[in-house]
Amino acid sequence: MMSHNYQTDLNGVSRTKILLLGLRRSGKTSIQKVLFNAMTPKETFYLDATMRIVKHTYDTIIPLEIWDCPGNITVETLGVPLSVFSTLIFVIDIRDLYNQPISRLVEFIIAAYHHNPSLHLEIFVHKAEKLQEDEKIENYRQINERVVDRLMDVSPSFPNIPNSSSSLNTPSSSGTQMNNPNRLSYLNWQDFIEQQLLMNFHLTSIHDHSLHQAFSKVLQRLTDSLPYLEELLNIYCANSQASKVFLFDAPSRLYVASDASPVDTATYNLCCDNLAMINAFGMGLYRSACASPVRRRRGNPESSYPPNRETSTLPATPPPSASSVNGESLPSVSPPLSPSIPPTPSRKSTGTFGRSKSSMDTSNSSVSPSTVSPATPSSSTALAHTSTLSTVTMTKTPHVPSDARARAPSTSRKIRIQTGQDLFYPCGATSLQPSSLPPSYSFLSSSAGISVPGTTIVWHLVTTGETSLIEEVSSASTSTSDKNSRNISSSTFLSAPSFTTYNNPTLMLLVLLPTAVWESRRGLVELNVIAVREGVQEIVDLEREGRATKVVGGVPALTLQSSRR
Amino acid sequence: MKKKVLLMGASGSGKTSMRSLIFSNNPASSTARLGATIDVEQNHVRFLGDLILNLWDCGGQDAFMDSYLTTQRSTIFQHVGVMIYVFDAETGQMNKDLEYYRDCLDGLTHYSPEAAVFLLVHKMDLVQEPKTTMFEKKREVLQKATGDVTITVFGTSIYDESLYRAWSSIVHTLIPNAAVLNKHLNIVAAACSATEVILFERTTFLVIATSTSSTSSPFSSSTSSSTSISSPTYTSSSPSASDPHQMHPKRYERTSELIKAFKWSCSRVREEFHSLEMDMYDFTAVLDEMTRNTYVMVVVHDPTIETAAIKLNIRMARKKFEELQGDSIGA
Repeated sequence: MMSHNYQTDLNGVSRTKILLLGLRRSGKTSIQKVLFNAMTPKETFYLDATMRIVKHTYDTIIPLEIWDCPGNITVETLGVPLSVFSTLIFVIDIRDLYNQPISRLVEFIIAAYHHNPSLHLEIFVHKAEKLQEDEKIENYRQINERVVDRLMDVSPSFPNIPNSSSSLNTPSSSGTQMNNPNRLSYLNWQDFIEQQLLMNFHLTSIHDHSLHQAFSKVLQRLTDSLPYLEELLNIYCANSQASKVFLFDAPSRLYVASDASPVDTATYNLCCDNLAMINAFGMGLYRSACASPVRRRRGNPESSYPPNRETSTLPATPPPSASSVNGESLPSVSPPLSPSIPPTPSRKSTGTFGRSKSSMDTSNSSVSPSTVSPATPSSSTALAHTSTLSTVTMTKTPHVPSDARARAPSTSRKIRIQTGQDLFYPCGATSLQPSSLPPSYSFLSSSAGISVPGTTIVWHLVTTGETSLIEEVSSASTSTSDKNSRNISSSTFLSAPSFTTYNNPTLMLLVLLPTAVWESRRGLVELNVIAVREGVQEIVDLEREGRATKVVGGVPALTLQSSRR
Repeated sequence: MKKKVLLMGASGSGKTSMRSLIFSNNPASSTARLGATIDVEQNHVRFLGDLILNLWDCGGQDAFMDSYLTTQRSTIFQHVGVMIYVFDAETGQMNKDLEYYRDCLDGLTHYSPEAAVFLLVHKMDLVQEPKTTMFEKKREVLQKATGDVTITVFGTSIYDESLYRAWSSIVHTLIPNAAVLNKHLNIVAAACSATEVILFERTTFLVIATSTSSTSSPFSSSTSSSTSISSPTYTSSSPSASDPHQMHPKRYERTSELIKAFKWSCSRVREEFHSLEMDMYDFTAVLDEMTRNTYVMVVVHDPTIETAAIKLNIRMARKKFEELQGDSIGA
């Protein structure tokens, strides 16, 4: 268990740390800006040299902390041990003379061998747009070869090894890794570079999507919940006759997960561009000043939308989608109308922390939720412990009836309630048709009843990126804090612990469907999205909970999370 | 119907690049490969089915300019519908440019007195800040050099949406039945309870007509340069009190730019963009084909309206619009 004080960030969140290294002017800051600060490639021309290590945080499926370093950083001047990082991205300018960057890179690999053998090593052969196709591939191949060659030649003797009682190069070592705090490896160097070192090369450029695709893969290697996400998407794909499904992180346009079929770069590029267009339209181009409040909110709790008193329909045997709403938080500003409406069950503790609530408080509600409390902890527990997501929504079903009675029916099927706000997720569809057909073909065919050829990219927002310090303060807390605080606890007692965690990511599902399927089976396709949404939100919530810090009496305690970096 | 459009300006000011971007659907980055235009390049661009734009891209090198103004004078300046004169915002030879411009204007007013004149201060992306003041200064200079003739001045760049605004305005003057289109778009808007309905030309995605009143028209000249890429600078023309929605003033050209960029992405994977619908937080919109040459975008703010209903209305309106444009769909 790491107990260094850089384990958690200022808010006490345990972030996955990525080290961004490379010689000066290799493109590190541009990469960080283009991916996470929405900078256009042209603007990166004006960036100044990075003089100090800058830590950027970004919340996606996992919370990231990217350390953008100046070009002259070495293992010694880094200031922190490599064990802090999960991934090291080394950026090499494709036109560079390779000795210098490779030497620096190898220094770091040696340090990783000693202090963090399971560090992911990603090498970006960058600025690929500067060369023609053949030269590009040739240089890429060469860099790859030279790195490997250099590693073979190098002897990993390293002067300062703390608390070392055994020699580093024990010939009799096996491949096992000892799990001790100082990360001394008992592998010999040869075995390390051949078997254990997780090294990947990528050909990248900020001027096209290669950077995004490369970083997507880096992100996926860091996402522990990837198998669950992929499974969700596979099921979706099969059930909706989709040819491809991506789960994108919307602002950065990285794909967090995809279904099992191989990712074709052209398809990824198309989806990436579609997402860029959607993002641009979502920036307020058609926002109307006189539209109803529903239209003026941006999924942002701070917007002036009045709390909605209704809850979603919960019939006796609800479809899976409705049952999970059960676990959602209800209006925390308890409506004066029905005292039977239970307050946020989301504010219950989860099973992971093994707490059960005897009395539940929403800290705003004047209602006594005794009818609800027995139900929800176990539902949350089920949530937390279940390993196969397909069963999760089912386990919640038994708990529905008790809540259902307490709730008023909603007016619209489409609207789900969460924390006093409409739960509306933007969605849309972009239809394409093969170029070989004349433009008015679909026109004619649809009126003639022939099935329309072509593909449609259907997109749905799956998690809203609302800011939430899921901070529970026992005095009147703001309604904003309940957002997706399904698993976060609160209590009536002032001294009770509360949780801070990172923001909910903004994830978008992009589905490639035959247009004919979209037009004839649209309802089903959209219904299936609900299951994906709930699965993903659950995974995200578990992650957020896992990385959160318990705040006891206003002072952050140690992270509850075990050795997560 | 044929309309002659003159595209003139100094060598390297960006005339052919503009043409490439707007009419040939090439991305801005590919314009770097274009070479100098030799003499006049004539293009016939089919616009809205029955309207043909006869685009005269006149090479700007001095030798050619001299020839246009002397030996070819009547050929060049007769029967012109619109003259577009392009100035490089960063030029070091403003005086020489102005002289040639005045000469061309003389020729135009002599042979085609009815022609509309548009001046584009181009390559605004290269201008050091502040762009608004720089543009205003340039515009004053141009106005003075022009004298009596009515001109419209735009600040443009191929790297953002400003070029679409300028060209939408230019093309708008050439469309014969814009008012009628406007009226029918209003009918569609009413039927869909839409805030706005916009008609785009299919290939270029220039705005042909909209359903809104002319106060926030996409065709009025911007009073300040509209070229910053990242964050939009609002034009100083304030929306009138009669426009309660106060939507983003640059939405038309931005939409053109975004759709065009996406169309290009689609072509790279050998697909063609067909239609889209969006259900966003702020609005709901459907962009679909209207006639063989036009696309329509319906923007709705009422949250209870489904996109399928909008699509149905569009389908029913198609026939009328085909009639209006005097063309019919295939078969």
